[in-house]
Order: sequence, then structure tokens, then C-alpha cells
Amino acid sequence: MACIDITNIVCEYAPGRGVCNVSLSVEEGECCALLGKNGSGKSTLTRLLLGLERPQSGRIAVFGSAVSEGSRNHLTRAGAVLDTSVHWDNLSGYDNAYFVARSYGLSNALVKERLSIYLQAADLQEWADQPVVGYSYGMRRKLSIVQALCHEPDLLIMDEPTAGVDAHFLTRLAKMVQDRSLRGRTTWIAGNDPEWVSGVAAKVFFLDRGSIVAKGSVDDLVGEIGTFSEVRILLEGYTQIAPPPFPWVRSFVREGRMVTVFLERETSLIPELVEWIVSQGGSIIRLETIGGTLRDAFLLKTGKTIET
Amino acid sequence: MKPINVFRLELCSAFSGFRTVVLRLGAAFLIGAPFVFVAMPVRIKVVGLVMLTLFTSFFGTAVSLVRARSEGRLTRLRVLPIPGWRVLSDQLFVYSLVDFVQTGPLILLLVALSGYQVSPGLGLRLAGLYCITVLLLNVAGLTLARLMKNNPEVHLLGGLIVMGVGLLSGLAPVPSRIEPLVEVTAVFSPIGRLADALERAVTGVPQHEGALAGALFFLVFSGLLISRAVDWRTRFGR
Repeated sequence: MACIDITNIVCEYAPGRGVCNVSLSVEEGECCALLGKNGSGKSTLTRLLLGLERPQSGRIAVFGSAVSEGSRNHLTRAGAVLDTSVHWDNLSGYDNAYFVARSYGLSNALVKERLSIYLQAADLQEWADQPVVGYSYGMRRKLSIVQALCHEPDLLIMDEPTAGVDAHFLTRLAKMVQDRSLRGRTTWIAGNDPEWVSGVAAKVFFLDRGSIVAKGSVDDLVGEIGTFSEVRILLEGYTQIAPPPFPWVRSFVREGRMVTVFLERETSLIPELVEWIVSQGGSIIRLETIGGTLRDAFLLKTGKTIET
Repeated sequence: MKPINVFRLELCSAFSGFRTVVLRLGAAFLIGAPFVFVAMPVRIKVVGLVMLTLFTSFFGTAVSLVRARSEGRLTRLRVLPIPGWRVLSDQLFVYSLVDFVQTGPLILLLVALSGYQVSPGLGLRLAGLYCITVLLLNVAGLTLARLMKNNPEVHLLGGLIVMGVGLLSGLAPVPSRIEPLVEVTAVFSPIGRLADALERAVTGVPQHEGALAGALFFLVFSGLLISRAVDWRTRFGR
């Protein structure tokens, strides 16, 4: 059964900003991830899912309730990590988390038990009684995640969960998300960290300019690179180089002195590529061919690099 | 006290730490104290404290709410399974309670230091009117906060509204041309009535009408505040 069902949703702030005609569905127990650059529409789609925005057209149903028509029923079964960490700063981290947990109807004893577990998992136990105003950015993010997990929701919605969070906690979080999937609980992740996402998500959507440009499992998406080679070239200077006019070049992205090129898997083509760069006045320091990752798949599909 | 609902969350936040409490109460006390302790005509003392109530209740709520919205705290509450009306009513109650703590003691002090015995009828009327006034001003503050985008807008429009409400409630002298209008509006304004009841209490003029309504409102309002402040679930072992 579909936990999230989004059909032809449109919510545009300006042309190319927001989401445009997006349709997707996520089954119960699935962990799905939305990957995209900043401004690609990930947060808008997440806010739509939470009922914080109303779409111009289309339909969103979560657990069968029509969120796009103003229903808030799904919130009792969902936990949310927003893109900004918001807390009552002069209260302690424990009190902030306690309030959220009690809002979901948990008893005092259960809240204490769960908070003890999750605060420990986030390494926030010794800071729990301190006012949040003294927390670092990463600690605030971790507290937001603890708040969303504490009532063990059927649907966990996380916007940029990896931003500013230490690798140690990310490993634990990945394990928690995997455990959730095993127990039939759904997780929605909107982010721009393909390395972390590829370890947890069963289904990935690439979002670009408000539209889904590719979707599938990590293996499927990475597998599509199979017929291409990724070549990374480090140039000596910042010479302007035009994209090669060859049909076998799928994508050509220049970032500072680094050029990333996707081309058909044919080793004989690399010398031609080098020849083109040299003819443009470029001087090559290093050249390497790379195996496929989700980051590469994103680059191949959108022609853009993804920031972390 | 653990934050089990929005009411207790905001209350804990408003009175967390010595510094917050001193700042919150100190400002109102410093502005209001001269009207209590310095010798001046009774009318000025009364109007001064009622205007202070008007400012703290109306402006305080509007500014706090706009700040909460700009900091994303209202959005945070919107993703929790708490009905919108519950969030709004809890905020209304807690902001009202904070206002009671800010201006209530000053009003009590003014009455106590006047040297007159306040009749129970007038006392209940005064308590009821004070609660109604603070509650209505908070509702107005919430409405203003919803309409305005940021705090500079709140200050601009709020200033004009406070001035207008003060004048129409008969708190300040008005041009003779609009005096008949003010005589009518002041009767319907709880702020004008509060000033009137307070003046009577301070000058020892008894008044009995409205005591029952005042007592009833005071009791209902206190009951609502207590119902939100108590953790019934934990108290009854659920």
C-alpha cells in the first residue's frame, strides 16, 4: 500500500522555483530519498507533504488522507525534521524534546525511557539539561532528529538531515533508518548528500528545477552510468574551455580547475578529449577515470554537480 | 515544571532563568512604578497603569508572536499533531498570564496604597474587568500579528491602534467636537470601564453592579488557565 501518493503536484513561487508537475509514490516501509541541488524543490515538496504549503494543483495523500486538501490527520503518525532547527532556545534540550514527545500522546514514563535512548544515541545526554541557546549547529540538528524519532513514527520526514551532523551520528542514523524499514516504517529524506543517501535509501528521486529527472533504486541509477565513463581532469590554470562538440560526450562540467566529463565507454575516445582540451589552451595536470556512484549518476542525469 | 503542552512550553520559556524573569517583569515595573509611588492626581495614576496594560498586553503579544513566526517556532508547532485552535488558545492564555504578572501587582499595589477599603463587589468587578481587558487586548495583539509581516509594521500600526483605543476609551482628553462620540465608546470599551473601576477603588467610591459577571469571568478564566497548567495524564497515572 502506498504511504505517500503524490499526483501531478504543482507549487511554483516563480518559473523554475518550487515544484512543477511532480508525481511519485512511496510504499509503506520504504526509505526514499530526494536528491537535488539547492533550490531544486526538495524542501518545497517536503513542506507540501507536511501540509505547510498548499499546492496550486495536484493531489498529495499520506496514509490515505488528502494533505493537499488541508487534512492534518497524517501528522499523528509522522515525525518531521525541518530544514532549519527550531527550538525554544532558553529551555533545555531535554525539555524541548519532552514537549514534542508529549505532543504525540506519549506518557511521561515512556517519554523518559525513549529520550534516554535517543539522546544517548545522539551523544546529547550530557548536554540535555543545558539551554539550547548554548548548542552548536550540529547539536541542534541532532536534537531535531531526536525529536522526530522519539515517538517512533510510521513516517519519518527529514529535510537535510546530514547538514552539520557528525559522521558518527550519521552512521547511527543510517542504522536507525534501516531498522525502521525492516519494521515496515517509511522514511522520506530530502537532501544533497548522495554518499549517505546511497547507504540508506531503497528508492531515489533526482530533482532538478522542480521536476523529477530520474528515479529508481541506487543500483539502477548507478547502473545507468555503466555505459559511460567518468573522466576527471585537473587543469593547471583557469583557462576557458568550450564543451567538446563530440556526440559521444554526454556531459561536460567545469568547476574551477576541475573538469568532469561523461563520455561513452570507449578508451580510444579519451585521447580525443585530451586533444580537444589542449587545443583550447588547457594544460592538464592530472586525469583519472572514476567508477560509478550516486553522485556521478546525478551528474549524468542533470548535467550538474550536487553540493554537500 | 515540564512542558507538556503549548501553554506550559511558552510559560516555561517566558520564565526560564533569573535574567529572563528580571527583564520581563523589570521593564513593566520600572515604567509603572512612578504611577504607584509618585504623588500625582489619581486620574493620571489610573490612566498611566491602564495604558501600561494596553501596551504590554497588545504590543507584547503582537511582537512576541511575530518574532515566534519569523524564528520558525509557529511552523514547528504546525508540524505537530496539535490542532491550530489549541495552539492559538494556549498562546492567548499564556500571554495573558504573563501580562497579569507584569501589570497585576502594580494595580494591586496602587489599590492597596490608596488607603481605602475596597468592597468585595468592586474588587470582583475590577478583577473581572482586568481579565477581560487583558484577554481582549491579547486577542487584538494576536490578530495584529497575523496581519503584519514584521515587527516594524507591528510598531507602526500598533502605535496608531493603541493611541486610537486609548482616546476612544476616554483615557485622554479629546477635542470637544468628538467628546460625544467618546462618551459613547468609553461605555462599551472594557479599557474605559477598567479605568473607571480602578479610579473608584483608589478613591474609595463603592460600586456593586457587575460584581457577579466579574466574579464569573474571573473564575472561568482562572479555571481555564489551571486546566492547561496541570498535567492531568501524569496526575491520574495514565
